[in-house]
Amino acid sequence: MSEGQGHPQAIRVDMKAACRLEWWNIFWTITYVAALGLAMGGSQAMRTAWIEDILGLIPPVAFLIAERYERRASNRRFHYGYDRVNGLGFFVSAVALAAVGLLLLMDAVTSLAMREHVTVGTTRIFGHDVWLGWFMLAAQAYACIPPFIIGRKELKLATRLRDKLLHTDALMNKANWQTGVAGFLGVALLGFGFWWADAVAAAIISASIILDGWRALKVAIAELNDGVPHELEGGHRAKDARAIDRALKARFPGARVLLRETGRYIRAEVVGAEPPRGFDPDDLEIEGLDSRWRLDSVAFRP
Amino acid sequence: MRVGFTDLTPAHETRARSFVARLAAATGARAEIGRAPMEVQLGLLEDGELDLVVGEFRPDTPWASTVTIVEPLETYSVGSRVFELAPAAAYGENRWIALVEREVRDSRAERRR
Repeated sequence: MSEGQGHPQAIRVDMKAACRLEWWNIFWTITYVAALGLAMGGSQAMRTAWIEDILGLIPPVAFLIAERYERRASNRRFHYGYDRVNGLGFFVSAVALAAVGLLLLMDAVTSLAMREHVTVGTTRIFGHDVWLGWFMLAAQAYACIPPFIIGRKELKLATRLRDKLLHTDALMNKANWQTGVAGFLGVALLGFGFWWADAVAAAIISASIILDGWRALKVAIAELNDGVPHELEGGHRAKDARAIDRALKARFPGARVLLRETGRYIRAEVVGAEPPRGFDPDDLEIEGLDSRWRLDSVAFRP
Repeated sequence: MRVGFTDLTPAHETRARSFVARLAAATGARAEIGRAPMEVQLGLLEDGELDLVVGEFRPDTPWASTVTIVEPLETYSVGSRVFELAPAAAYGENRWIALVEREVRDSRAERRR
């Protein structure tokens, strides 16, 4: 939490699990990035999927860096601590994602317009000529498995931790295995002589990258602009925020309640009310707030 | 089968002719061979006017970005530079390229024996 050191007790176990998962995520991503890199040859769909997979390393690395900062206590330079480092990492990931997606889409559309044909040759192994496309398909199939498993695990943790960076990573892993399937089909159709299939698959993959980046960018900007806390998915106001809003309005009738999200925490401000003597937000009864640690502080502006 | 030779040395022309004969036998096609400078032949290959070009390339030839340079029939040096006598095919003609690759490998293996 902002002024103290370390994460709140209630989320420490989940944070440890998330860090462990992200280290595994980095390890498996490196293995399938290497496999795709070795097998991709001239396939544009595979190159696009490969770049997307490399970009997939940004959220877990950003998460691990942000987690280390978040644990630090506030100091003379940062009076509110480092809760927003997570949001900052999230913003950087979103910009990188959207920008690279646009570049790759341009690449794919140019290839289609220029009617560029992709060569996938053969190699001789133990006296047999083997189509290199088989290696591409095997690498692409392998690259679908880790993100499928890790993404599902991350989604549960991200919901409990209210962690946008982890949530983006889960979505990116989902996009990675889906684009893996698109890349697989692109190479397979290329093998059947459909020269355009590879570039079309690359364009579809790029569009999914742009969409991921755009969604993440909207949420990141909202947080950095002191927006009202929103659910991780769907863009609705967060259930926790609604519960805090109701509780504070009931306790301070006639006052305005302002809410903003700082990293995974919610900060509230009550405008038009005096702080009661000895008021402690931890003692406030908040019906419907499942994760009590979410409410970081309540400030008053009489 | 329309084949273009670039300006080859006599020894390389003999080697290229024997390779084209091998390819003709493998495909059951009759080979028509023409000669012209590299720039002309690779342009014709790109435009689909030729099925194959046999020429002398450097391993890092910039032509590799416009046509598929198949594996070399022979590698040789001029001074400190390495060159390859290799067939080239149009980009994306994957079935044809696979056949040419197979014949290049078989032809090299036969010469080694």
